Amino acid sequence: MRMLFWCLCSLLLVTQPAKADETPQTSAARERMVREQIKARGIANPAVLAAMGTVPRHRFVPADQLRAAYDDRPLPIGEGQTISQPYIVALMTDLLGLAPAARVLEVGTGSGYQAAVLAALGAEVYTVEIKQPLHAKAAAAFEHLGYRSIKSRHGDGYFGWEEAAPFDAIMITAAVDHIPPPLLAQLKEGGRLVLPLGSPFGYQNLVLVTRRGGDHEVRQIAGVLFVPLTGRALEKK
Amino acid sequence: MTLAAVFLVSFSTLAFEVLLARVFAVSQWNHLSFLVISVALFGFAASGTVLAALKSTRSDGSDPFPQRWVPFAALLFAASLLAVLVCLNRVPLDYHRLPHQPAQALYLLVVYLAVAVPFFFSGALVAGAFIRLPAHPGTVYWASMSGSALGALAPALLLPFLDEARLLIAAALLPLALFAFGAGPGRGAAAAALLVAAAAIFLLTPGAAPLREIAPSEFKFLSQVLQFPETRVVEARTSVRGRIERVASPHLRFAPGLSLQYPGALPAAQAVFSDGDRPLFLYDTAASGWPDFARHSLSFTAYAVAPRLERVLVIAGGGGLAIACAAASGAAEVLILHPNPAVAQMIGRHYRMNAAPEQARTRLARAEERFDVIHLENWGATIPGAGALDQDHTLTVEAFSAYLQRLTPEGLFVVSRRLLLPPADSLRLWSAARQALAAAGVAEPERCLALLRSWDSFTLLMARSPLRATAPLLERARSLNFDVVFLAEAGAELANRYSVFDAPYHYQEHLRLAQAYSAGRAQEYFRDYLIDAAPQSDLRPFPERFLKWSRAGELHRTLGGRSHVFLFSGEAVVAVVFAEALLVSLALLLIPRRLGPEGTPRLRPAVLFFFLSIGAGFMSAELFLVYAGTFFLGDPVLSLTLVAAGVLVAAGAGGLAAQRLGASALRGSAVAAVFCVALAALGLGAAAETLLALPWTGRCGLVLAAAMTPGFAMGMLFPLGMRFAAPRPADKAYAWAANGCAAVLAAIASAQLAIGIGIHAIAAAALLCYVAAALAGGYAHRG
Repeated sequence: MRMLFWCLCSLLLVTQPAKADETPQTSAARERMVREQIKARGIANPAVLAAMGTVPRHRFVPADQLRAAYDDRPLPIGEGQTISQPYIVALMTDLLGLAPAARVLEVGTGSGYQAAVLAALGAEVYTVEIKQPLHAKAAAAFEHLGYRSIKSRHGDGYFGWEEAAPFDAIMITAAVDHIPPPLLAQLKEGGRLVLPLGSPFGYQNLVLVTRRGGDHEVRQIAGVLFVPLTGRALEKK
Repeated sequence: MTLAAVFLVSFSTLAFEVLLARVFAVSQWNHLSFLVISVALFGFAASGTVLAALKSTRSDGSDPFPQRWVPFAALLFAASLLAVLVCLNRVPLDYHRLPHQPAQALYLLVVYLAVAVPFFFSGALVAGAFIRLPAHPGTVYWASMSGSALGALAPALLLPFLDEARLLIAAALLPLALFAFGAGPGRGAAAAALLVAAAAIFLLTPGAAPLREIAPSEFKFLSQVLQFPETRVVEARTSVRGRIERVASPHLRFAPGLSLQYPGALPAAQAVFSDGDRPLFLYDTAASGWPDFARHSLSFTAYAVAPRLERVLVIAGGGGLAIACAAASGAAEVLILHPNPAVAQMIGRHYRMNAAPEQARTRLARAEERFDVIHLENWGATIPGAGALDQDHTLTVEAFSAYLQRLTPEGLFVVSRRLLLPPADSLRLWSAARQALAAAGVAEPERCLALLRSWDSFTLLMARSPLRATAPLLERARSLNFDVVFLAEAGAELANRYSVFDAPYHYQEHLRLAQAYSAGRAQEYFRDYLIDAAPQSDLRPFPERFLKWSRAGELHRTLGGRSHVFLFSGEAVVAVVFAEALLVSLALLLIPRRLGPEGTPRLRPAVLFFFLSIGAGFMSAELFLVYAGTFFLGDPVLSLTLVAAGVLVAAGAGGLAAQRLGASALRGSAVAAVFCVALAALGLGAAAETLLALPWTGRCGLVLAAAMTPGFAMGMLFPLGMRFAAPRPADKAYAWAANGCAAVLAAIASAQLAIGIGIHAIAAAALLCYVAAALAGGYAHRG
């Protein structure tokens, strides 16, 4: 009986939502996140680091995940969706090489965190989400937190945002089995498109596509997600 | 009445077990289905422990399982079955959230314990029957085994008509039939039975749907897709092979390996989901882009360079791109194979093409057909390691040999998979193809292979004659921006041109592998490589298994030091479950021995060893037969159903026959079990390819016969042991617990043996167990 009591207590403890307001603890956690998870892994772009240090990630995660908001891992946000690991968000943002006031399309708003980071960089962000509940939550968060440069809509991101095209950069936040031709068509000359390859729960690397004339240059970005050990290094010592 | 209760509850228990595996496959992840067998046997083992403890603590020596408890146990079983159904719906367990939400560990524990409860009451009833009827263990065994056999068959027969939840409710209602025939010990019990029946009927009503309906995890592909606008399930079918749902949506498109040079439209598609995942896309053939987009896919390379395109064979798994490629090729004749009859029918109806519900291996073994292109579509699991426990005979060396045999002289085999780092899948399939070519007598097998990649996938081509770096192939790679990872006449300059890695990792690794084969050092190469990328055989058919425990630390570092990457690995699940099972088994076996000297079970070491050996032997032999049956039938659940039915019926008959035998039969029966297990294993293994060509009914009969062959002898041992080696009630209960614990551990160890060494190792383990039982049996009944 006593054991049952303690089990119930533990259940209550681990599921208890924490408060979502900005506190010295959340600021410190964010600062630590930037220092230990992002800077330490080689991302040096001051604008990206500043944006990551500004956006309150804990305002984009559900109540039951608040305590883990700044952890070094992806988190579930409901509707079968995840908010990416902070390092992935920073790496994807960095790869876009955005100039101030760049126009960026994000396909898959999700929690809205990535769009907020892009907005914090000074970008004009267009973000599309196909799942209505996620779109509604993210739009409310943008409104509440005052991200006026983000335009969000509910719909199929496969066809991009024709009225706002062309874009300096496009970010696809969900793993896809092909890059939609309409998105490539909405990319400016020299524009960049970045997307993750693989499941957020498993191994992921990133793919960076740059438009060059009629051609597309593709780079596979492993970052620190894959430490390249090949040849002899892969063999047992 | 006791025997009727044993029969009915055993029937419901096995039906519950099969249905539970289905429920977990639909709602969660296949790994949880793997847990079902362990949970079931734990419930049984725990019941033995509790009965042994009850007997131990009764100083008056009264019966720990009096007659009135029989219907009471059946009633509790039925009630707990309904409670489990509600629990499965109400506890917010989601395996995908496990690394991110600590409460999930608690939910998993709650579900694990809740699911074990019906097995506990079922086990208590059967173990109690052995205690109540000490002179007739064979009859009790027969009642239990025959009920279990029919219960194992019931879901296969009834799932097309009733879904998993309704069948679970029906399984709960069945034991209540005892009360309908006046078996209850009094008005109170009858009223309780009525209450349980009323609860069951309530759960069947439309208003109780939220308590009953099994929904897939929100992370499953189907759950994701159903959140899209204007998206709905338009057709659903349930069978023991899986839940098939066809979804219509204007937002579904599928084109892995599509060149970025393709500027056109992609046809929308419907998707057919198996257990809420692994979609097969059916393209809209009236839409713009059909089927021309497929010409721009990496997989189409085989069609583009094939000298002749008269007959094409598509081996469809998930995906659906291969059908589009075949359609775009303009081949005169296209045959599509899909193992699930419901899906094959949907494909045939949608495309108006020849789609047969058949396993590729059986078709290739049976029919003397030749094809210009054989296109295998199998994209594997989205998360590396997630399919590690999945038995797949389409990517083994023997499978590649079969594909080669069915190619026309200039024909091509093609398979595409996801691109991974470090290189894994591509090395394994390239090696399997190379070994098949070498076995076919091809002098320079690597010259008959080509490997290309796009930004997200790779494609392997295999021919009977050398593949050359011809102008059409090189021009296609150039114009569509595909990299040539391996082609005998091509160099490194083509390997990392368009989808650029920091270094040409895949090219470098394939070059090293080819050099290792040329130098006769392939074994050393695979031994030393960071992950297990060795080609798979029909004896070890687990193409998605990569983890080497000895290199896990290095792999962890290579993948950026992120632990959650390993969470979905099947090997990790097996290891964790085994460790947990070992601890719980030790607890269950030690508790009754610590209760005091009065009634403590006094099984001698030889007797305990005997019951442990036959428990482990029975489960190992059964699981070997399930794995072997999957090769012949192509479906693990179908194999499990037939093997369980065959083994259990035969074992029940063996138990009944054992009723007439004396104590000396203990050793003889174990020797007979050794002989029969060996006979079944050798019989299935010796002529596997020939037997594969049998028609479906013939293969079912073969699997059933193979299951029944050792079943009879194996079934004699437990009742004989109960009668002659465990005479006291506490000993019987303890023997029941020991048998259950050994079976749990053997079930989990068998999975590890299968993926680590091969399924033949499980047969060897079963033989060893029965040899041990024969040795122990000689001592068990003495003294």
